[in-house]
Amino acid sequence: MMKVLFSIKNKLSTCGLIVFLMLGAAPLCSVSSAELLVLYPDVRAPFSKVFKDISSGAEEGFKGKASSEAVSEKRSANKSLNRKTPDVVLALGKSSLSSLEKVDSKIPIVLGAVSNQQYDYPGISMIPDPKIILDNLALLSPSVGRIHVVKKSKGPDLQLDGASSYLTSIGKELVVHESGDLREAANIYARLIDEAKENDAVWILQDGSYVNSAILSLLLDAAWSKNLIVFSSNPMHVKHGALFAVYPDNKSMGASLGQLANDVLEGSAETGMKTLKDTLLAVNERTSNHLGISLSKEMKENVNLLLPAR
Amino acid sequence: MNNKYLVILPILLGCTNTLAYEDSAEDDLMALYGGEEFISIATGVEQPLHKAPAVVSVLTANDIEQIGATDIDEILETVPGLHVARDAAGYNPVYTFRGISAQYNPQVLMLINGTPITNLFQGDRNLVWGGMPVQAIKKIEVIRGPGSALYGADAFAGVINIVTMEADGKKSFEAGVRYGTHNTKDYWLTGGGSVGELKYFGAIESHKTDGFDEKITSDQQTNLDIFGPDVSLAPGSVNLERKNLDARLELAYKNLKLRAGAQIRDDAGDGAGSAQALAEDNNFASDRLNVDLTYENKEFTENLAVKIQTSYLQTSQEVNGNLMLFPAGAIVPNLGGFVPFTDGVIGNPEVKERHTRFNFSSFYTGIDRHEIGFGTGYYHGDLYEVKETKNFGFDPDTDAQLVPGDPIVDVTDTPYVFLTEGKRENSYVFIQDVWQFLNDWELTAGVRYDHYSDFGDTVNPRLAVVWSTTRNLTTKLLYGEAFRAPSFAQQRAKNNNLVLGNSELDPEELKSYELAFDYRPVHDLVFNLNLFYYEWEDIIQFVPGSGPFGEAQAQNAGEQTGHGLEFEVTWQALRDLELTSNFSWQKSEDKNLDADAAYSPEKQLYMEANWQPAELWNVNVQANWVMDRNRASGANDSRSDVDNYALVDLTIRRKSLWDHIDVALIVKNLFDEDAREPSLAGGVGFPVPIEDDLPLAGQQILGEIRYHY
Repeated sequence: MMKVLFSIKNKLSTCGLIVFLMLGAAPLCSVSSAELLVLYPDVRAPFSKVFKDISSGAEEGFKGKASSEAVSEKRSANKSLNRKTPDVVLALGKSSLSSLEKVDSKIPIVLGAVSNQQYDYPGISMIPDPKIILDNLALLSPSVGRIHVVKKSKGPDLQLDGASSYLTSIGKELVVHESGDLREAANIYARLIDEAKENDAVWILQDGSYVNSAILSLLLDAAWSKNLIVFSSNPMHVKHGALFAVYPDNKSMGASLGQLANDVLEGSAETGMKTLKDTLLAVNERTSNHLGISLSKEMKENVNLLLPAR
Repeated sequence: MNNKYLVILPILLGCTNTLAYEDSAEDDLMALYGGEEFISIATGVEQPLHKAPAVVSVLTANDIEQIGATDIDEILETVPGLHVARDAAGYNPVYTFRGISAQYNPQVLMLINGTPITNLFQGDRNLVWGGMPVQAIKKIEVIRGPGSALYGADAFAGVINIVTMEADGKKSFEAGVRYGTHNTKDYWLTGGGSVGELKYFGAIESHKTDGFDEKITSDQQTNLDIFGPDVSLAPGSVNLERKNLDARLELAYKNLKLRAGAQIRDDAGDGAGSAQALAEDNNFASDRLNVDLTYENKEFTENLAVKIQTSYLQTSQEVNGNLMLFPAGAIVPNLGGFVPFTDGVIGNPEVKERHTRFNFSSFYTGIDRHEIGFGTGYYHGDLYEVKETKNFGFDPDTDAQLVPGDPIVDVTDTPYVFLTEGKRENSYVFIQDVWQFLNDWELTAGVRYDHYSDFGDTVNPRLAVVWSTTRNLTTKLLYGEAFRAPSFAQQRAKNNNLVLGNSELDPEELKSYELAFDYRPVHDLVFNLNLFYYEWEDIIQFVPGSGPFGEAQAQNAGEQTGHGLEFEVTWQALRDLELTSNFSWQKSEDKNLDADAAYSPEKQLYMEANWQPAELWNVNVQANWVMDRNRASGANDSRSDVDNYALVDLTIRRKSLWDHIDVALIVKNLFDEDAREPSLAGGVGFPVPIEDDLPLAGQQILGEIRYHY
């Protein structure tokens, strides 16, 4: 009797699972009448402008109704969800996400404006896609054939994922140097500068290259005297003399996140974080002049920010 | 390079820069963008500075807010090599660059959104200036040195371009109120947004104050009192009350921009007196209205940027009631013998002007390594209404000399009026090439030709070489020539017992040589050093005895040379602490007198600390030393040199209270220093009118609240 009962229960469970999966595969609701709530951290200017631009882009990119609310210690995500009844939530920044994760809610989450990709939510990180960075290098200096990068020996570096194979596919080479600490990194940079050939370039990673201001100054000074291209994933380095960097196009990234929220509701979104493809380009004109890189009209059209001013 | 430093230095220096940022959204963005400065630039909050073949300072709305400036003069004082002195009449600002100083300050060109606001009458910004508030200002660009090759007349000692907030389509609203010492009450309202493709921004600002009431101990009337009883009001307070209303509107549609502005001045006190004699209740009014329509297309064709602008500016200088030049009971021998003017010496000069401009400029980038600029334009200035009533001089009905006690007569449109009406036309053409002739070398060569209907032609070239010497050092070598158009007062003044105009005047001329260094040894530390030498010729001066009847007539008589340096350092010492300092030194020589040039400070030192002790808090302390101002040599001025002074200001601001409210406490002249600007010498044969110089404001405390969203 028990076996029969178990068998029936299992069948019912299986049926339930099938029904659930069928429901899940279908759109959760009609996107055009759906509501998106964008939650962003309550921060001061100019940081607030980043989130405002992303929010406004998301509101434009989402097909249904969309609204944005700031989250702070006093104004938790829970309060926002009590007031609103969104069909999908876009959390911007990890503090918005952690506030949202404290709420016992089944509302699907899209994640944006975070600086790493170790999340299981559908979303877009603020780490630029390495292909975009390398394409810009090819545009500015097509002759570069070998790119050196110093990477922390512990842990992966997300920006390097796919960079090597992409470079190989376009006939260029990525040379990764691992370092365990600041001193070792400084040694590697010194050696790199000494041994650099004409078509070499150095790529400074956002968080993984052990570059502080002193190393950067010395690296850029040496690169200047040897006419070596140094580009960076840190846009501020461009101000100091790196040739170029890409940085987020917040409005467009917001629109992509809004579109992703549409996909989530339509059930077509891929899980996991994607790298950032909506980017802008900053170029140091002084460095490009020094290197003899004459910015063509076409190049200038692709440059969003020409630095510096002196 | 010796790469061992690459290993050692980071250990010594670098580790201290690895800040343990709090785990917050801000820190994520800081890591991503590399710094707050880049976030401001990337999000459009700040514009990056553009490379300029000149010595330029850019003061932003943020700089203005941080130091608690309520008028442009306060932020301009922070610029190295620029000092804002005062004229006795209305305490009008005298923007003194590099030792170039004159009472009406016509050697400085002030522009609002690129349009000059120079008046024909005195070549200044208006005798009833009344200050300029700052809430509608986006930034102020200050060029030290000449700029006539680009800007034309009067871009001589320096150029001050005030750029107002743009209609960028962003939704904004701010309402503010500021109350403080001397019954000062400021209110303002600004807002912007868009309707479809039409973007708009508007601002209205009201400023009312009784003005500070520091006393001067003696005045011109004190000198005249030797002829009779003491009627001078000195010791007495300077009169600096004023009511200002400023409004700005900007509409932008695609490539078109329409801008309008109003600067209304009323009840504006006469400072230490129009004739350097205190009088009760003297006050002026002035209406200044401007409008411009601008078409700007940076991609007119693939390689051509075009800008076409037409503008109109109308100004007035008006007297409310009667302007008492000397107080009741004054005996002024050259006006009325030894009989007292029982109602005082009254003269009410009024002037209205209108200025129309048409400018075309274009920049062509179709030739590799060249940016070629070309521009042309036309200006029509019309001093169209001169009015005067007075109780001295000649009666136009009888041609008889008025005597003390006679009623006020109207000399408007008679030969006895103080100035003739008139027009001035100017047409110009300029060409400039910015040529990157080697990878690290850029040459800017430009020349502008101006034709004036009254004083003829002038050609002004400039050359600038900018060399990217190393990664962190830029060197500039600059040469420029400039001219300063004679004012109508210098060309046309008449019926004035003291001064007489001269229609034969040539423009003043300046040749300037500069060597500038911009050095950034490490991150967040910037040094600038500028060295300069100039020759200023054909200086227009009223030369005693040179007129047909022995009057002091305007002549191209003066000559001055000067040299000096400006040194500035900006250091982001900590994430929340920025230190700024500059030191300027100049030595200028009056070649005719073979003596040090008068009035300008030979040394200035400025120090500023801007600290954010906690999130949303900002504390700013600035100190400004003004030193070594000489008396006029050969002008019968035996006073000892003007005392140096140091003023300290403090501004504490808390932002985003309840999200939308900012509050600030602003203390100016924190230590209540007795600071004085030099009063003018009396001239040969005349005593000094105001012996103890012009006192500046003592301690002032202001409280400010802003609501914004």
